[in-house]
Amino acid sequence: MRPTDPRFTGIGLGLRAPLAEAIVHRAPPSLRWLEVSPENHVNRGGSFVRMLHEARAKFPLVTHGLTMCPGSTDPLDRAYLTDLAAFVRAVEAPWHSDHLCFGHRDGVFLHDLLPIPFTRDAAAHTAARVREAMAALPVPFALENLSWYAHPGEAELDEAAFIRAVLDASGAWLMLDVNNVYVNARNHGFDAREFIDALPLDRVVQMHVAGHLVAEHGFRIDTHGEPVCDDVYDLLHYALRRTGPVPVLLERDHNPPPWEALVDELDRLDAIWRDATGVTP
Amino acid sequence: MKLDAAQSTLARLCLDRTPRDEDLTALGGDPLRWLLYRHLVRGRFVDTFSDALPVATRALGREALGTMVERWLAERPPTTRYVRELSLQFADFALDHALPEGAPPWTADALRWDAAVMRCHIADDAERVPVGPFAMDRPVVLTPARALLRLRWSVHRDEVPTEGEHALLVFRAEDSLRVEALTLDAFSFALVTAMGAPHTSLTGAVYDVLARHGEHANADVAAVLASLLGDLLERGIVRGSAPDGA
Ligand SMILES: [Fe+2]
Repeated sequence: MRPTDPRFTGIGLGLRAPLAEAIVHRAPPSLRWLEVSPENHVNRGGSFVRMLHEARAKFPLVTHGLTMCPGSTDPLDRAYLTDLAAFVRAVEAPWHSDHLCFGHRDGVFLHDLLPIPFTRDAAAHTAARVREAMAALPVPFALENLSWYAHPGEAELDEAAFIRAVLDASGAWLMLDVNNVYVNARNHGFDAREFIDALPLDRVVQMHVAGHLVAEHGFRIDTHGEPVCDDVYDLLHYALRRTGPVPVLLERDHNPPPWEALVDELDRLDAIWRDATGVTP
Repeated sequence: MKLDAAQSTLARLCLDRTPRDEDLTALGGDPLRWLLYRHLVRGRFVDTFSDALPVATRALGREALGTMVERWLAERPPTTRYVRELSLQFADFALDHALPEGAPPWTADALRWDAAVMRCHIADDAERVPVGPFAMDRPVVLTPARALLRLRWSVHRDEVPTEGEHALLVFRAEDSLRVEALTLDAFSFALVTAMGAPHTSLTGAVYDVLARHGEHANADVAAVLASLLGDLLERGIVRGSAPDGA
């Protein structure tokens, strides 16, 4: 059974310092919960502690990591997992998620979400690491599909089959990033709806939407710094029709717009969520 | 391509000063896409540092900052998963190496200042050491959100810094959580430095500093000490004393 939590329904927003004041004091009714990245908060004092405390007083929090890098060939960092588990427990997150990628190599952190080859070996390696991480975490764990711009070497599987292989072998849930699906579909020339249909949708615990940058020749770069585009709203509606009422998060990490513009995006997402699921959050 | 080779190749492509053709060939497909990864990774570090090291960035200019970042990535790339610590690692590297020709003479001080501000801003001050009531015969417990800094240039104060002696106690204010700096005289600077030693009582620290300055306890010293301690206690920089048996 897919993990659910009645606190997490409808639309959420990523807690980011430039947005924190507005989130706490001027949130619209369409905003029901927040997502936080443990890496921004663990073992840190000062303004981020206050921000988290104020946010927690108003909203339930779910956690979304940036640096587990389950696809990495470096050994898993036990101290990180211990801190992460304590943080997840402290904020009472219903589940934790991170990306299906690598981002560090030989102890060097590249601070990006880098692609791993869609091969059976890579799926097995990643699933084993995910199982190890899951054993250290107090809540269910979900993997997020990546936006990727190039594939290293020859693929043995298509992306959907690769994701399925990792989830099947690890028992992890899926964090479906709809914008990432869209960006990949446009950049690599496949059909976004067919891709979504090929995923194990019964494993989706949460979704992401975000804006992306349209660069030269229409190439799409996943920036989380632009408004969500119409096609991604449509794709979200399509995905929600298939998954049912899973919570949806708006990611806005850079280039923060006036708060009113974000409220409009949250309201539009809320309307789509209600229409697609037939549920009132 | 094997997972291991894919990762070592892509990591090298992002870190090397100049991308290698053989790496682009090994990764396959359109080389421009791989160079986009390189561009995004490197640009993100420069953006992070221009935010986190504002005074140093103003001194260096973005282009020279970018050149230093290139060198850092090639020679001592980041080993932290925490974005907030990246600027500290980079500043350490930059201070260990010759700064770019043409950089103003206050660039090193600017790096020290920005790093001290960042350290105070992020310092984890959750109570991990026991704190008892303030007592002269016990070691002082200081906030972890503090840094002592000697600067030759007034980078902490002036858009165009001037040369001089600046002994600063940088700290995070308890209410606003903003980072501020107190200018200290030489005696007070030495005293706060001595207070940071974990096993020395406050009285011991005072006598150490007096001995090193060739002075004796007298009414003037007592007045300076009382005023400094009052200030440090009020600002939460001194949190109390280590309790007996701690
Ligand atoms: Fe995402």
